[in-house]
Amino acid sequence: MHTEEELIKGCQKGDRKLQKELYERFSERMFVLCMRYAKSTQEAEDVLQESFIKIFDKIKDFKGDSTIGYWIKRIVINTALNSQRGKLYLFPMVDVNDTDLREQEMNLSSIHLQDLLDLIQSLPAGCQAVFNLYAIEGYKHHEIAAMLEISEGTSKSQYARAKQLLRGMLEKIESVKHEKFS
Amino acid sequence: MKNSLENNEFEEQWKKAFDSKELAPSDRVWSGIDAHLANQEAGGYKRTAVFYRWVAAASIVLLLGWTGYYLTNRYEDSALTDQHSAITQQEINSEIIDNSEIELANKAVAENNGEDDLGNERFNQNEEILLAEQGKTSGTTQSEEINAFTNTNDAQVASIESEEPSSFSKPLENKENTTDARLASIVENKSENQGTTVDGESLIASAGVSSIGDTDHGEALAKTDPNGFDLKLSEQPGLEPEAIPVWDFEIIDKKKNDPESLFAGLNFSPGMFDPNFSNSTAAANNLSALSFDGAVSNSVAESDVNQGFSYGFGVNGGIPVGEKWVLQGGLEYSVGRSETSTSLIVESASGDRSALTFTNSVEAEAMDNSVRISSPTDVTSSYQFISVPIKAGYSILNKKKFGLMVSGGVSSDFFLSNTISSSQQGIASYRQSSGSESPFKSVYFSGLSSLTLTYKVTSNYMILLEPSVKAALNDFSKSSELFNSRPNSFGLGVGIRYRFK
Repeated sequence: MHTEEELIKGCQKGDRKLQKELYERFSERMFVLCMRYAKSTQEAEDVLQESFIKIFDKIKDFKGDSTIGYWIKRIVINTALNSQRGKLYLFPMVDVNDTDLREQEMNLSSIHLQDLLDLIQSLPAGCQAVFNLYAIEGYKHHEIAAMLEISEGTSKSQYARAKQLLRGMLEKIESVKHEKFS
Repeated sequence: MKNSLENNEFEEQWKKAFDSKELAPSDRVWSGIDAHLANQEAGGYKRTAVFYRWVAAASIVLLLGWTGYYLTNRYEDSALTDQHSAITQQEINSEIIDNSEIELANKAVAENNGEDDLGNERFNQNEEILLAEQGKTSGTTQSEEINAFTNTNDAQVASIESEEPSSFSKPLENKENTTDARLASIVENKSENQGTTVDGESLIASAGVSSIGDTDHGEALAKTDPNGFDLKLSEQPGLEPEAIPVWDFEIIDKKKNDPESLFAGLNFSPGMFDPNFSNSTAAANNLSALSFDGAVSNSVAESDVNQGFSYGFGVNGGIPVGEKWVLQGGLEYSVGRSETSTSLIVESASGDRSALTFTNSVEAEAMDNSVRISSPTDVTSSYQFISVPIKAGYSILNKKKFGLMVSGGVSSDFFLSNTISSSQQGIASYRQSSGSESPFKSVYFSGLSSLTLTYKVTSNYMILLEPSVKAALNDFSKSSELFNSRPNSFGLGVGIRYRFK
């Protein structure tokens, strides 16, 4: 078990064993990330593969300005967004009003990871990307707008739409559960 | 406010739901990454190999160039020495005859006029001058001594009426002996003046007379006729023997290059061949997927192909298009090999088994053969071509014996077949012929360059050594294939040429 510093130096020298160790250390976490942005497992694996190829190509340029985990995550997100770029139909959602949505108690911890991923993957591509970036990655709308080359308003409305859809789906899950227990 | 808080709770819940969550991807992901890294590593080695190959080629060129230059110069030096010796001997003979004539004339005058004493006086006069000059210091030049001697002889000749000599033998001996003694004394005197013990050998050798450099003092003086030596010195007024540089004797003009001539020849060229595949990983992956519906790891079909041994032989000819330029053409049959490995064995309906690689997958599929997995086995592909090279050559050197020419051109390479064979027992060779089903084009074009070192065995025949490199200018693989191939090769050819003169 090598330290992160040893792993980085080894990968920079092209050490195949340490490259595999780096992959094994980060691939499972990054695969969840890929699954959130992709539409299928196959697609997520392709994104993950492409991301790690980029990581090993570019690791020579890694200066240590941030943690290796954060650097890898940025590459994976960018690769995932690039893979989706052609499929993103991003336009303002004029019929969505976030303030009208009724908030209700949610307990996501009771839902299996794969089910949550299925929920996110079922979102329209544009909504899915904005939702991931805003709700989970924590980017601001103006940052998302810059990343996806859209307006801030579009980012907000896409997010509101994603939220609306997810709530609807969660309500259904809750009602199914409720019916089962009752 | 409540809404905003609730919204934040919504995001927090999602964030928390995915926090530190892990999911294992399939092995396929790492296989792909690993294959890419392996290819990159192989590419790195390939680049290094190409670099070292060029270094090796450059070293050969330099070595051959230096050897050619050295041998040519050595030949010229030898020719120079021979010619100089011949010229010196000619001068010696001429001077001997001249001096003999003088002596005979002296003798004749003395006999005819009954003035023997006068004749002896005249003869002794030369010796007196020389003996007097022996005592001179280094301020007196040897050429002055010699000029005095020559002038005296001239005066004698002038005083003699035209009378034919009857015999050369006796006066010639006398004169030679006298002059030998004189030269010996000059040499000794000169050595003493310099305060060194330079003997005749080194003194003469320093004057560049290499033909007597390996003889002792007496032999040197005996072999080098002093008259000849005197004559040379008299032609260099004001120069002392040891001050005459070697290049003063380079009286032979450097030979100009011989003009190129029409030739025909045979050549044999062993070397290395690299089919230089790219995108072979995709082709190998595709092969695995096609063969096993994607259910088996792609590691069964190797994408790495290593370069292998090659050889070629053929006929060639050249026609001069200027003093130094030659247009060359030829016809060559060549075989280039490459090595890879596979775990896929294709079995036909008749039970014949052959190795399956990404280069013969389409044909194997078309034949509806069944594919089996075996233990990994080494596979050799032998590509056979007929090539028609056309080159323009520039003659850097074309001396009497050696020639050096640099050439560049293009070659049309006609693909004949590829034989895929395996070292494993029970696996037959698989032959891919040129044609519509072949993954390779029937013809592709290559750029080629070579350096030719020739040695003329006779005036018409020459042998040659020819390092050459060849690289494809366009794809050898068809555009419909997933992989690309742009072969390159390196060869060290030998051959024989007949020059039409």
